[in-house]
Amino acid sequence: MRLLRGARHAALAPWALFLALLIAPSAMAADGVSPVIGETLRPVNVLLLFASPRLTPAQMAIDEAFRSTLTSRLSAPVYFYTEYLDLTLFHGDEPRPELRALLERKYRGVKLDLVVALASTALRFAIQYRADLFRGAPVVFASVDRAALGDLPLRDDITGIWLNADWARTLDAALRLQPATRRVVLITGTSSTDRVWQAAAKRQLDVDRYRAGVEIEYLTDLSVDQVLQRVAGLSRGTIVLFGAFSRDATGQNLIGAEVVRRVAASSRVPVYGPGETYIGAGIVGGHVVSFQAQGVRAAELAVRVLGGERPSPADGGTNAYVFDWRQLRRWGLDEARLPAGSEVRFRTPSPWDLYKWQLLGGVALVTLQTALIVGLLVNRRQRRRAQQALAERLRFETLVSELSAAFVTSPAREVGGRIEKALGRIVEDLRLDRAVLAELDDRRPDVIEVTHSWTRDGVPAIVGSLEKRAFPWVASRLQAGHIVAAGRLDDLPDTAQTDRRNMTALGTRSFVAVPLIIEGVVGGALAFSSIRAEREWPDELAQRLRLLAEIFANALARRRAASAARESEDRFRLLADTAPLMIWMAEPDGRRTYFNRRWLDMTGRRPDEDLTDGWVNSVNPDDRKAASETYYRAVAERRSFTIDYRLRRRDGEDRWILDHGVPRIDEDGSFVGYVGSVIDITALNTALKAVLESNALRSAIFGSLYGQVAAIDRDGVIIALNHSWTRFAEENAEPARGLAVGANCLEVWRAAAAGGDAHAYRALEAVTAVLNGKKEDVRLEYACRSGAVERWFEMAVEPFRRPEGGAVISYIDITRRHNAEEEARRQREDLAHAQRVTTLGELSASLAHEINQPLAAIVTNAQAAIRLLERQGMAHADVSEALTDMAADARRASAIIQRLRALSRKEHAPQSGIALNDLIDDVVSLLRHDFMRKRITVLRVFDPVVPSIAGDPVQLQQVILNLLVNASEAIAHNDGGRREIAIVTTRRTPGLVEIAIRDSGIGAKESELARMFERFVSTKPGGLGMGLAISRTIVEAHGGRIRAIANPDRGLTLHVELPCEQSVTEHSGSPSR
Amino acid sequence: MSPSAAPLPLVYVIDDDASLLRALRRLLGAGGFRVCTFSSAEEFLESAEATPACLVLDVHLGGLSGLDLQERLVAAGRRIPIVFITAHDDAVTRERARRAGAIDYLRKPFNDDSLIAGIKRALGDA
Repeated sequence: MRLLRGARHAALAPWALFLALLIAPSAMAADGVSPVIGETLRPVNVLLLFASPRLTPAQMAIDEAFRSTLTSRLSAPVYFYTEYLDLTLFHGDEPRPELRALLERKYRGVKLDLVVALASTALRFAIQYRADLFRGAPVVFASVDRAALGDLPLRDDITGIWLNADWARTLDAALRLQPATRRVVLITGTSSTDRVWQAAAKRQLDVDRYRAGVEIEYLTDLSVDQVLQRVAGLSRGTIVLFGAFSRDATGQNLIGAEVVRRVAASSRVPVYGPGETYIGAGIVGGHVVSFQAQGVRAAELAVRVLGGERPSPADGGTNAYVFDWRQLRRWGLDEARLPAGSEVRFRTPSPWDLYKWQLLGGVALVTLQTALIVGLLVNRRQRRRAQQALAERLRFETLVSELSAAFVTSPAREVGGRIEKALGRIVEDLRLDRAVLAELDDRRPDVIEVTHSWTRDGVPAIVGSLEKRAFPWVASRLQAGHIVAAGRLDDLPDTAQTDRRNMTALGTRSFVAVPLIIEGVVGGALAFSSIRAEREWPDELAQRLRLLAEIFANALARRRAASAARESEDRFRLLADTAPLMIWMAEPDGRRTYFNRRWLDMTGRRPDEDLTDGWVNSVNPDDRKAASETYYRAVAERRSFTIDYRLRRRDGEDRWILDHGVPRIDEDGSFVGYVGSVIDITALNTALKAVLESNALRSAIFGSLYGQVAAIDRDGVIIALNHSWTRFAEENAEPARGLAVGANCLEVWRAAAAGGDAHAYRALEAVTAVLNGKKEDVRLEYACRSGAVERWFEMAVEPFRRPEGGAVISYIDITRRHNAEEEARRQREDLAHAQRVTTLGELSASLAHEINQPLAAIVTNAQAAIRLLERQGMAHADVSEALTDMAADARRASAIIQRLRALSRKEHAPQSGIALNDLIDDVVSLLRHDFMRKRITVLRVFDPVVPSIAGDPVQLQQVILNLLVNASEAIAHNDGGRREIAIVTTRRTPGLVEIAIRDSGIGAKESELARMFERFVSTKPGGLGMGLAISRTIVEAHGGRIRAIANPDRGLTLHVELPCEQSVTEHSGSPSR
Repeated sequence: MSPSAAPLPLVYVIDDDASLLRALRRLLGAGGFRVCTFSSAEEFLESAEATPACLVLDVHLGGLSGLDLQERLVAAGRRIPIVFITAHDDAVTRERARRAGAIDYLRKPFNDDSLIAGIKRALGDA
């Protein structure tokens, strides 16, 4: 086994030198460099960046020249990575984000030593992104128009070969050949590269020198068909200059050489051009750029750069006058008028041309032929091999070109098929038997998986996986990045015994294996083998195979990336298409390049329509301008936006939609466009309107509440106040002091409580309890003095029943209610006082009666004794005196009792015109709460024309009160049954009114009825037995009567008769209940 | 006053207080009257066939009150001059008694002279 690179420097036989001259002209350039055996050198990683999506003839020329020159000049192995940036396919220099992402992923782990940029767009890309993507590797460019770079500064680690499309010399040459020319039609395409060429043409040709003589028309922005039509209609005196043409006005991507072939075929006048690749395609010729020379010179610069030099970009030197002999003949142009130094190609050799050396230099020829013959005779085998190698190489070159073009243009899903087809072609072309492409699988480190293979018929195929340990030596060599080749298995070193044995088992007699560098690491191998015969693996072939491996690796990487990208894109589209909303995506300039299915379905637009700017036509015309302006303004500022407008549905109905867009930022933080969603909010709008209306209603209710209402959140911050609150806060310092929306009422109260404000403390406690959920609702009453006026408020705190919690606080001014209650309470107290006073009066009356009886007996006895003594003449002054004193003292005691009774009796001035019904109403209302508490219904049946009465109203109220209280207590002690008190007023003649109070209580026994009006007789447990006695006293004092009658069913009716006045008072109270 | 005078006038006394009733018997006896005492209106109504010259009547009696008795006597056409005595004086009762024809209305404890004057006036009326 030998290393192929080292083999080049083995001692060369003369024939080998000769062959080298024939087949590898670039190898001659290797003289100046002294390569070392590759094993000890770190491989050089070179990335070739092509601007175009595929290898055009010009690029192939550069590529070929660059690779061969560089590999021959460097001793270290060179790994070429190739990228077709597709930049010319797109507007502007912005690379697609997927491409950037792909490159970043691919080259993350690769230490690139050099980036080679071919064409200006590729160079711009390299400059812009090398720091991010290529670790700042130095850049060498070729085929770059200096003007196309503008004033883009070039750092000293960027160098290359300028492209000079020499339009002027080309035109000069054309005018020399065709002096009668008056009109020039200059044709270029529409891609960015094409425009660079056109711009160069204008710079060079729009000068006085030509203006006088010829009229120059620039044809651009035409389709190929239009161009063909135009050139077919050109008349004598006109010539065509043809520049770069990689895309026409219809957007179709083309190869310039193909276009020029058709143009030249259609043209009625000669076509000239400054590109070398057009020579042979039908143009007459020109001062053409030699892309091959560009590649060679760029490689020379690259060698210097890799050596640490910083050479400046080099100018020109790659152009030459080249003409097509056939075209000169076709148009009848005089070869003699060609500029000096012109090269004429495709000359059909005339006998003279063919034999002039024989004729003129016979001796030399004979010598050469003799040497050849001798050589051939001596080394027939080698010669055969050499011829074979030459043929193989030529075929192989063609194959590689075709393959690379095929791979870059084929969709990723076809890569697999193409690889196998390619393997088949190689096997056929090289007359091999088997080709295998195997890939490493991270999950199975011990094996290498055969993923593509081609086997000649009748040869056993290798399928599945190969164990690495079966080929330890080859595997390790490949892993280290080396090409392994063996013409015969015996060539393998002794250390490769295992490999040899297993190869033999597979029938292999001769093989070559090339590492497959995928995304910067060895990811597999490409192996070819011969089974039927042993064969040599020339250096050149091995290098070509390495190129082939690189193409395959690139294709595989592309397929992996594509499958990842497609998977992600598929996922996105699936998501986008099934998403319940409309989705769009836009470029950085705002052109919307993607709409999901739902959007298309909604608008009825077709995916093949131009929607980039045309989407606005689906917007209601009234909203279109505003929506569009808002949109592009947001895009210009690269910010998110939300626009609402009416989108016209396919059925013509306008739908309100919300269009929300956000800038898309890729991993590097660069702005790559927009992604947006569109939601149909028509239904939402309707719902919203309803909500707004209901909210309006609610807030109207809230606002119009009589009380002051505040809503607070769970932290105590006030989130809403009603109008009443605000107004109250304006009018009063308390209690809403410091409580506005946004304020924290807890804090305000805490501060006030710390200052000794008792209400604040209670309010704080109440609200905290409700917020903590300790209490369901809290009510506080408190007085609030503002000036001389005392106002009463009730503060109510209730939980805010919503998920976020909080509380609702309301204040109600209860001054009136409070005053009314106070009044009622006062009245009750008055009555109670009266009751007490009356009770005391009654007691003292009773006392007076009881004491006066014995006192009366004492007095009477004393006086009787005096009289008896006197009658019997036994009167003694002292005894009479003593008896008189006794009587006097007894009377004095009586007088004391009498005075006490007078004192305890609250005397009220009798009134006349008392309205009985009103009086009863007043008492009933005093007892209302009591009745409600006891669930007693009070039925009033009032005679509306009951006459008024005269008397003490307080005492009379007391009677009614006593009777009603007794009735309600009788009912309270009665479980179950009706709970009703009926009060009936009736006019009785003559001059009497009756009040009947009927209850449904426990009633009384017949025996009790007679005694119940006596003092200290009570039927109630714990009763004092004074109520009815007092009532009777009062009633009787008013000249009336009171009695109790048992009802037929249950309970008692107390009848009170009172004398009435003659006048009749209308009842002014509330209607009977 | 001479002892040989016409038979002593008969005075009925009705009071539910036994002590006072005994004192009044002594006093009126000493005052020169024949006295018959009853502890209730009902007792009086049941047992008294003779028409007394005068009735000293307590207003507040257990059972039938003094005023009720007065009403009944009026209703029965028995015109007996009545001197009311009461331990419980009030204007309404006094007025009512007077309207029903009472000769006098004395609040307990009363003076012996006032009572005897009242009884004499009643006897004079009779």
